[in-house]
Amino acid sequence: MTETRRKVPGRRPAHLEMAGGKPKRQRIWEAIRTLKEFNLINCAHKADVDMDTTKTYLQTLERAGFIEDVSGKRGGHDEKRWQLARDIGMEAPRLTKEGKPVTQGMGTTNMWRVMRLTKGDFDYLEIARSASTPEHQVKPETARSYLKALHSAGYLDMVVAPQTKPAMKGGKTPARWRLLPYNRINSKKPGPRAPMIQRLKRVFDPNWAEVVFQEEADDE
Amino acid sequence: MSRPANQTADITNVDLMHATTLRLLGRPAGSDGMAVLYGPSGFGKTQAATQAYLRHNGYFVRMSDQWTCKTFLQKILIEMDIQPEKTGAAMLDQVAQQLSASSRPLIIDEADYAADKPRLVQLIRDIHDNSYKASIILVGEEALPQKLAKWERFHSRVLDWVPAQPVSLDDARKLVPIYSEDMPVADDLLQLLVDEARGSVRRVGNNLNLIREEGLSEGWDVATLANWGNRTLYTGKAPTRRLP
Repeated sequence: MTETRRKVPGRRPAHLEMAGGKPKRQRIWEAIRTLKEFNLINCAHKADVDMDTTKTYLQTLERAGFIEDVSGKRGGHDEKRWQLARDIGMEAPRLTKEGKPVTQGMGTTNMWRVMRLTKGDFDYLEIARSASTPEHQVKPETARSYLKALHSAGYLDMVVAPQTKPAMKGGKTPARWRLLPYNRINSKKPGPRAPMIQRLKRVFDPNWAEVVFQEEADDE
Repeated sequence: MSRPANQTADITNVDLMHATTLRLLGRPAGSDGMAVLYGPSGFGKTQAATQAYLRHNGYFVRMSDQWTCKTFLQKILIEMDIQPEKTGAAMLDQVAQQLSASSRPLIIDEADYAADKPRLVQLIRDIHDNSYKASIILVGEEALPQKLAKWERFHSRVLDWVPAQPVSLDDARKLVPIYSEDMPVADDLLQLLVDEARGSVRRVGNNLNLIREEGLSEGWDVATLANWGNRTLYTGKAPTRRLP
């Protein structure tokens, strides 16, 4: 398999880098892992992220126990020195302000994961079923709208069109879909991070850090 | 057509796989961290592996016959969202490091493809040995344990050998609300499905779909062995034509 990932020049060593587009928090986390011990200024500098964002995330990380204050100083965050206390690998911890894990987006993530590993075609009911876990149930309706958005954004192919079954009370068999090996719009390979549906029916792909689809641009 | 929210079926194999993953993740430091889930196709191994993957936020790769050591490492790194290094040794380090730091399990589906290739077997062992407390679960066909038995040093690192279980009546009951929630199915008909399924969860699922369609168009309150009669079930042998 050839390397399909985009290389970003002038960054930290590749082994400490995630591939693809990087949110600010991810950059801060990578800076922390590289620096091991740091203060607000050199962390923000290393991550190339503004001070306010860095400070907020550092506070969150401290609350959740991922980093600890080693300066022993009281008071302002500008004075503190932290060190990495709990390394959980490349992926930045997703935390709320209170330091609790973020569960929002788990449904989308799980649906995307299931689609990526399904060998053949699928319908929305199957995706909802396989992507549901005891902690995160995925509603069939949620699956349906996610698939619809992914289709508009060029990720999916319709293998079988929906059919009406007049004999049946329920009425319809749903459309069957297939995840394309390359996106129809930009010919890129789908990545591990789930495409997100944003407001105004925009589809944003965090793997490529780009907006793949916007409803206004669609003529259908 | 609107359907009520579906639920997850904790059928036997999903439970088994979940418990195995928990055992691997919670094992004491110093003990080996590999497990093997094996069984005939259709037993729901991949479904069970998928659930473990989602519930434990793992990494999932499906082996292919074409893969070399390098592709295998690249695929894992892509799943980890890490920019792969150039050389095999460096990539092995990356994978081992990420598994150690994240303590997320690595699930390898269709591991039979690896089991035939000494270098891949060796590589999986290297990933395991080079990381601290990594949990690796191999999922494959019924003969996977025999294939792996050839590689003594690999074999001895497996903490758990988990045979996938054939579908049971209890499993079938749990599948009804998922495949046929608007058409209840009586135990006598379910028992027939289980008997005809020859262990395969997939066949029970397919048949529940069939029963639901039939039941809805016939207007049954509940699908029983009596009103099913001698209609044909999907047995996986040959496709049967169903006339309206």
